[in-house]
Amino acid sequence: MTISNLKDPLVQTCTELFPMFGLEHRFMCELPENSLNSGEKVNVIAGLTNGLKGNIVLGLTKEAAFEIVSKMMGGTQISDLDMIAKSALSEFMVMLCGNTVGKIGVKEIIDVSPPTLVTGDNVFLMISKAPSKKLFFKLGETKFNIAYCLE
Amino acid sequence: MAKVLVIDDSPFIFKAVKKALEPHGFEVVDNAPNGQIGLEMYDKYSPDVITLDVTMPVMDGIETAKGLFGKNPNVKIVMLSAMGDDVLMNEAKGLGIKQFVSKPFKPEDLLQSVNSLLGS
Repeated sequence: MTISNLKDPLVQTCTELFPMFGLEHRFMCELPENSLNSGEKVNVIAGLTNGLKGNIVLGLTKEAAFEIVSKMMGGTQISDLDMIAKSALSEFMVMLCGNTVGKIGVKEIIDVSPPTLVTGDNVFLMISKAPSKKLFFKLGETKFNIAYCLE
Repeated sequence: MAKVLVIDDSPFIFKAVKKALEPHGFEVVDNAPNGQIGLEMYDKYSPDVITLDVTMPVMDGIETAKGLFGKNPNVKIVMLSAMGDDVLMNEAKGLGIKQFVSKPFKPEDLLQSVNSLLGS
């Protein structure tokens, strides 16, 4: 079975995952892009291997990253992405990707690589030149996106 | 006091496990960031229970579980997984793992799984 679209499993996973931490999000739209890239200040990248090959990138504003980490840590005020905060974001990505691939319904095991976190004020990541899709979401007063490409 | 070893590459999960178990009298002895180090720490601490992540660098949870059962067929493992993957879960069950907790987990769910393994 060829998988070409992760929109529905990603959106469905977000619908389940975000409320578990008390986060209110809203899916806005999906747009095609010519490459897999991200220009956000906080980027979490995970690879898919074995049963499905590709990459998923969670692109966050700093505010969105702080909000997610704060909720994951029981409401702790976050003003910096220290080691524990980065670890929490990586874990969030594992949950996002793991639950998404579980919804695809293929028989083969799909492995999710340990996430990589890239942060900075002037970051532009070019992960793949393959055509990709980007899902845009609102998170309270801020926003985030999830970009992916599949081989 | 029962000893718990956390084999997980996430310091955040280590902190969450400590927060869930230590108030209930467990000693969370250490955090191995991958399976290879986890096998070494198993020899060092002889923990009563291990919480084991699936996705880790160097050596993943399934390979680590095989190594742990090779050392002690009666080792008690709670597998923490974000995967909704039946194939992976069946493989873990086939190895002898009886307790699974899905991430994100509630502290009481982890406590219940650990207590269930210890028969208390």
